[in-house]
Amino acid sequence: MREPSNRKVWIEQARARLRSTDRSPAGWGYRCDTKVAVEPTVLASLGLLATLDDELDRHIAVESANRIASSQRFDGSIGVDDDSTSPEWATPFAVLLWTAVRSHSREAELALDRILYRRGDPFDQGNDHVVGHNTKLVGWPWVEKTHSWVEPTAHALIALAARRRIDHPHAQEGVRLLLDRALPSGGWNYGNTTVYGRPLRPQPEPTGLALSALSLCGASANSAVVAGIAYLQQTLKDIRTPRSLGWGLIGLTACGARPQNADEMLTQAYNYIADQPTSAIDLGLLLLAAGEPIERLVGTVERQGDDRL
Amino acid sequence: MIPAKIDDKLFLNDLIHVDRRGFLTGASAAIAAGLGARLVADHAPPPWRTRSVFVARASSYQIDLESIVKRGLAELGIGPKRVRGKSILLKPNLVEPYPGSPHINTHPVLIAAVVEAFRSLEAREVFVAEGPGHVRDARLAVEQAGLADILKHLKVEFIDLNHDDVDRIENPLRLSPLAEFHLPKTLRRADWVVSLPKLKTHHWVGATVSLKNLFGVLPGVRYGWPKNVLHQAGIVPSILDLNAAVRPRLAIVDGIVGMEGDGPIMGSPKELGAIVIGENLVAVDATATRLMRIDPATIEYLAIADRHLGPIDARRIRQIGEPIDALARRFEPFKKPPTAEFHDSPRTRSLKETPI
Repeated sequence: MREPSNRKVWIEQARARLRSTDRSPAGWGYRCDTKVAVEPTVLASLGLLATLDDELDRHIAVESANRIASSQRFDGSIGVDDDSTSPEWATPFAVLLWTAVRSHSREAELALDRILYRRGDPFDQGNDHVVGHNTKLVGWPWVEKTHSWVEPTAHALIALAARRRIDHPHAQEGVRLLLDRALPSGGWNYGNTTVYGRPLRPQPEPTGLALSALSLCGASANSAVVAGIAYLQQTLKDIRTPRSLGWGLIGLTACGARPQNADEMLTQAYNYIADQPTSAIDLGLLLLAAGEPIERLVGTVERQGDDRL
Repeated sequence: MIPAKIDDKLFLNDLIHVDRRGFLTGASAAIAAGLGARLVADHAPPPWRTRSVFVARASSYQIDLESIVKRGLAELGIGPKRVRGKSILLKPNLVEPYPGSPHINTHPVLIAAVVEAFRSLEAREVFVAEGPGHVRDARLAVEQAGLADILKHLKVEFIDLNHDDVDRIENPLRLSPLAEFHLPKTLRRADWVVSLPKLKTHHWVGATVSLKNLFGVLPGVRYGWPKNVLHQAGIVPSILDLNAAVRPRLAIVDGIVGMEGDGPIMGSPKELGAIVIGENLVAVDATATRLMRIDPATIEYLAIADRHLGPIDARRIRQIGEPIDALARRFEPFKKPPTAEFHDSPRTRSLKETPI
């Protein structure tokens, strides 16, 4: 495939690739050959919406939102795909898409209640301080009945912020958890800061997610956020993989620190995957990072009222 | 869920004549169950029958590693007759991206050598698959490990197991409380799963080699990052249960440059100059730990594995190639520092005390 040299061209190519792999039932899998799953479906849909110039794409996103709603369980949770009742970590993604397409308010509120109910397990280290973080703070886990980690906590906080629920005590505790999990050198990883006193290394994707969540929750002035921004600004210069670059740029943009050459970085990242099989997550994140900022995409709707399309 | 009922007294890796894809699909679960009584009689452990492990001197990543791997496979009786037409899944250790650190991840040059060795034995396909335990961006892990360009050059497919569809497989050993595993469907595609770990000391379990490396097959979308479900269930029993469920066929250990101290991530590089190959992963790991001058009986999961999956006793391991004493070097084990040194550093405290 010929490499696109500018923003407009690669965005159109990415959108076309997503459209061409949209499947029945509506949605995308993690790979072309895997079953439809919630996270890639939501990120691909949000990517289309963030760069929207066609009602057809809005229709695709709405169809995806409807399909995800149909898979919601009575307790409000959403599995990672149709065949799973657990884990539930994809539930916040459903909330984001419903919010972005301004539909399914009732389902979104039910999902939020579930998110607020089903949190991570704290544990008491006693005097044996093996890990450096506060293990009693509660955020969100990847899998029920396990500990809280950075990325699922950020997912939950972004969804809560999108529905204006950040004043809930559990959301506030989630914010405290993210700040507690910030690495001494700046940035975030999956969620261990130190083990036996030795600091671990940050990674771009969880850092971008944490910055997005903290910014949407009004904590962008915190020193951990400032250090995270500095880490990403330094690191993203050498990153071309869509997942890390995408969340990294989304996080920096949410904090008002988008690099001037972001478009160039995204073009390079698209070129990097241009000849590879379509990944809905990769394309969705690149489009999301290129288009309308996430706070505008999902952060401006009111909680009340079912304005289903 | 697919049943995998097997007497836990069985030496599970001995079920080598049961097609592993069939085993995973459940089509052969009944076959396995039917074979159970006979296999128990044939291979009633312990004591184990002797397992062969090949140890090679490999002074650096710049030498002809493909020839060394081929020689090791030949010494173990693994030739075209056994490999021809097979699908080979190579499972390296790519736990976390960190450029320029040859001691964290399996070296890409060794992975390439193994690819070429299996191709020369007429494997139908050879592909690389991994589910990094600390990051979701597998492309980043592959790229920063220096593997991306090599895979592209060799036209080798990489599959991100973290985001694979899954089969639910009953836990055949049940040493941990886990009743089942959600194994990636990609495992079904492979006739052979080859564990391709880096040799390291480990701050939780003492040492990590080919058995522990199997944590990376479990999809993060089901087990999280880190794969905390396994920690909750107990790392030691989870290692053994998972190996009993996946039933890897071979291990090839990157001990050219290993890691000592605070492994699996933050330890220091340690040159050993060795490659270890064998079909029984317990015997391979026991041999590899001896090369680190660690007694395998002091590694809890190996000591327990000796009762379920294979031998750690040197008298039950037929050593081929270089003698252990010719290559062994003492790896500094992880030493837990005094609590006062690591509890709440000033930097950590300042972050925690910063108001929102």
